Amino acid sequence: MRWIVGLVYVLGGVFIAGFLYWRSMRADASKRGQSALAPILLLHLQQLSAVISSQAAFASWVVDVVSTASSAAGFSLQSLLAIECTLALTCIDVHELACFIRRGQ
Amino acid sequence: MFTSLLASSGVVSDFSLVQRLWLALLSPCLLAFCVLLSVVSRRPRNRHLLSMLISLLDFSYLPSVQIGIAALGCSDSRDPEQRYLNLTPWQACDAEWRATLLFPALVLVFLLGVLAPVGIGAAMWRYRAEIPRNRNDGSFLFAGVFPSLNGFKPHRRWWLLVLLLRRLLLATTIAIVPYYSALLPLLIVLLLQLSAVAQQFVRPFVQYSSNLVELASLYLLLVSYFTVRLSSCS
Repeated sequence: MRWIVGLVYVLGGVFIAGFLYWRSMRADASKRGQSALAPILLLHLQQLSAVISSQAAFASWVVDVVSTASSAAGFSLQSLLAIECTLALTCIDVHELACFIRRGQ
Repeated sequence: MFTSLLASSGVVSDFSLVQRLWLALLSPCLLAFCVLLSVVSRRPRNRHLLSMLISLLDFSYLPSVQIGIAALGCSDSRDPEQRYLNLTPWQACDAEWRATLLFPALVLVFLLGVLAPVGIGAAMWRYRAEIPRNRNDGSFLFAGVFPSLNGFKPHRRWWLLVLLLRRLLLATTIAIVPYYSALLPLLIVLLLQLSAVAQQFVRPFVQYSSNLVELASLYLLLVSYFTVRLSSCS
């Protein structure tokens, strides 16, 4: 499972690097300013992930939505997820969970 | 493929905080070293490679600096006996944290949070006459940076620094302000709203569509944040 994720990350990295290289070559050709849509989109996704990282329950929301969609497709998404991800399925806030564990110690 | 993308959060969490911190420190350092090699070599055919490396460095900025600041954000003080990291509340700010996390986090935050903005600001000031040029026939380094600046209006290319500082402020706010504090949504709203107002006044991009998308992106961030906040409260 992990090698697929690794492969996706590598392919994504190669795609972004290739796109940036192509964009650099294109900047040579254009005398006028070029579109900044792609960098804006990439930075937006980064900022979005930073913003939602402050609320761990978002992961559960995403997995809930996808689980609903995947059940319609006829396979169990939850069985393929790692334990950390399945915790999110139970809608446990990771911050609350950490406090709970600390109190137990 | 679809499932692997979803499980990525689980896989990433397999890395310890120390490993993630060193990865966040080494990635920009490696890219910066490659940029340095390209600049020193000064081969014309390396110009596109240099440009690609600088763009990758730009995109690796926020994730890296966020990990560094998060490793310093001991603001979870709900336990009166011990403070914990705000974004990773299972990590206590104790002797082990000081021994393993503090040094790389300080180095990372100094490099990316202090040195990078100051260095870029100084470079933009130093080359302020060259930056507004529309043609990339300047120095080798400027030619490498040019594709990152080409989307901005010639006299608004310093906005790149504003975007960098905005990302830094966002990462700092999220990592330092306790997630349970009412100050967090207020500061995020303030930052995004001020950014949107400034974007609307300055309109730094050449193309109308880019300005519009940047503005929409800021408001989408705001809406996304409150959606996430509400979903976690419900």
